Amino acid sequence: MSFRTSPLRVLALAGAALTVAAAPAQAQTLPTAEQVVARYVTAIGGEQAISAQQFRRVQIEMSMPAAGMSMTAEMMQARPNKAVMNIEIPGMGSMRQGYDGQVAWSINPMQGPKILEGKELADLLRQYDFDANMRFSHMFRTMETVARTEMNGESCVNVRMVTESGDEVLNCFADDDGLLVGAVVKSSTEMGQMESTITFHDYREFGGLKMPTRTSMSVMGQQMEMIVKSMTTDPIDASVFALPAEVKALQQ
Amino acid sequence: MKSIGFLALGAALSACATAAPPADAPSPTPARLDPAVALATFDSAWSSVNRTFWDTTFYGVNWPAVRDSLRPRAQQATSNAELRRVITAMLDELGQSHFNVIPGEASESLRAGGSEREGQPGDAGMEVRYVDGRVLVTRVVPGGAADAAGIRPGWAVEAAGAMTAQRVADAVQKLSGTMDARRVAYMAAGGAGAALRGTAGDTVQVKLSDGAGRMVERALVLRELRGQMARFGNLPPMEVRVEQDTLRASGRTIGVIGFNIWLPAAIPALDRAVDELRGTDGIVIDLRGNPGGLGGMAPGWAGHFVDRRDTLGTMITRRDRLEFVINPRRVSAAGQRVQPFAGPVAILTDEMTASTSEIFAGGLQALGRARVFGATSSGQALPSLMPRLPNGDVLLHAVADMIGPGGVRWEGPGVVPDTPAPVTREALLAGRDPALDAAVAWIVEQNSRR
Repeated sequence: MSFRTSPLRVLALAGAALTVAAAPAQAQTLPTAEQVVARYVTAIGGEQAISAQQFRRVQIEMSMPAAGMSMTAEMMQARPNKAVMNIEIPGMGSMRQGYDGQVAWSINPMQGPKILEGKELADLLRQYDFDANMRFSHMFRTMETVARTEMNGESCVNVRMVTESGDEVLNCFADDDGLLVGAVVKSSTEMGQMESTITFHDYREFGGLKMPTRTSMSVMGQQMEMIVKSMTTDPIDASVFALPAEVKALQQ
Repeated sequence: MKSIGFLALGAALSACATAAPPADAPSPTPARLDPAVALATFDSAWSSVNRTFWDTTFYGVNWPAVRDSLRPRAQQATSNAELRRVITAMLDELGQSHFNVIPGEASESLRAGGSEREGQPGDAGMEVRYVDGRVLVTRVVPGGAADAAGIRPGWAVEAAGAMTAQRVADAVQKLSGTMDARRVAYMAAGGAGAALRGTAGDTVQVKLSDGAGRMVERALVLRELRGQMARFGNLPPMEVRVEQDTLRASGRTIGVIGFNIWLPAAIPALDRAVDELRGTDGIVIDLRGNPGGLGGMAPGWAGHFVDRRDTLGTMITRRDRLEFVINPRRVSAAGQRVQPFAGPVAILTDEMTASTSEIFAGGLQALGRARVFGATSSGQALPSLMPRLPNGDVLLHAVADMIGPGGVRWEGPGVVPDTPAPVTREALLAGRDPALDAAVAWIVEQNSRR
């Protein structure tokens, strides 16, 4: 388990202070947010490669060492934003979430089925946008470069992105290859706003696109590791994205 | 960017349990502890708390000074048991619940689904509480070893294995100077209850005083636990048992749901119980003796009884405020559209009701959706995590404060019943259950008013 809360806060405060002090100089040296994300799109394979994909099926192994838990997850997506995610948790069962193009839903053994609304819905749609990796300006109300920093041992440029609903993401793009190194995300969940720190590792090419095969996330003092086991772009049957019966019952 | 969907997992999976065995449980492998491992374990425990304790002032405790004073003792510890005592002393400085060390052996000693009969956990089939200075039998499980031996509720346990009433009394006397009576009763009943559990097939010699004051001695052969053994994460394997019943009183039908722990293995039976009792005139939820479990289950199950989106409470971590959101459950386990149960809901608590059970009971009480009967709960209601330490033990440590609707705080004071109905020996001997009786009477009254 990794507990980064306190050191991160110290770092964040230190970073903020540096940002203020160094702002005039950085304004001259930092690329614009548009330049950074354009470079990122090129780095992962380019708009053409992204546009060529119609489907994605990603299989993931997850672990939460602090809870002593290992899980498997599968995410299936189809253009423009249909998606189904299934997390199998030993001792509990499956937690599912999806969007059929009209209704976003979640089902988990503890809470039962639910139709997502409001900020939760907005957050989910942003995640499920098939072109989320290249449509930053569409997904975020504002984007601005704020500092050059180091994350995960790499020099990177922090770009602050703010959603329509005010949630903030601080994405850090590597100086050397333009790939996303990590992010500090404030996002809305049913329980409230949570801040998480995410780092991306071991990029590999799948179907012409580079994606991180290892993701580490620190949230609420808990560390979560996610390893991509496979990613395919073969067609996925439309029935996969159909609303589950429990969610249909909620609509009655 | 795609990781955001996993965020809520961490919060939902935080535990709210007090089911940790005592930290000084004997180790079956008393090999000399490597000083490097001892130090790494101590440091890991200290750091875990240092990074996650929700109050950055540690409520006035000088946390670095606590480390500095105890670290040399940790380095000198020659066994895991000794090291646990040092770490427990460190955690006790915080004065909060949900800070404990679960021995690694405890989490590995019981294997769920093991094939060898001699390895199966068992019990004597009776529950005990510490009442008015005595350990009383409060429940005898039909078909269990105690039932077969003719033991009845209200009898006082004078001895069970190595546990004697005198030893309990001595322990109570020692504890009384350091904690309140409710916590002492919790500890005393927990210790006495442990003497009535073991491996199925083992024999426990018990001596009891019956209703007429006669000494009764029995040899109880522990029987396999009735519930399902379940594992979840770093928690040791635990019995999960859900019981439901239907009572008739004054022409009304009342459902009763009791369960022993909030673990996911209970979810299907809990959901089914609500479905099956949906047509009754009221539901009694018996949380007596329930020590908690997975925190996320409380708001989820509360959705069966609440018809509007609401919150059972707020978890306050160092960085975030997270709501225990209740989503009304409008679909049955069979996938049919239903409405949450709208009839009267009574919840039974006692001093062994803790953690997630307190959040559930106290939350619904504060929302005005349930009335609580029985005795004040344990007052140990903090969300916690359970990382494994370098020596193989598991550290239970709270990571958030918990505030209920309207700002009520259960850590310490516990959930105070609307209708106090403490158990008494006289009632038990007469075959009565004061809390259940009061709850049933209230449900009958509520229905007569409707």
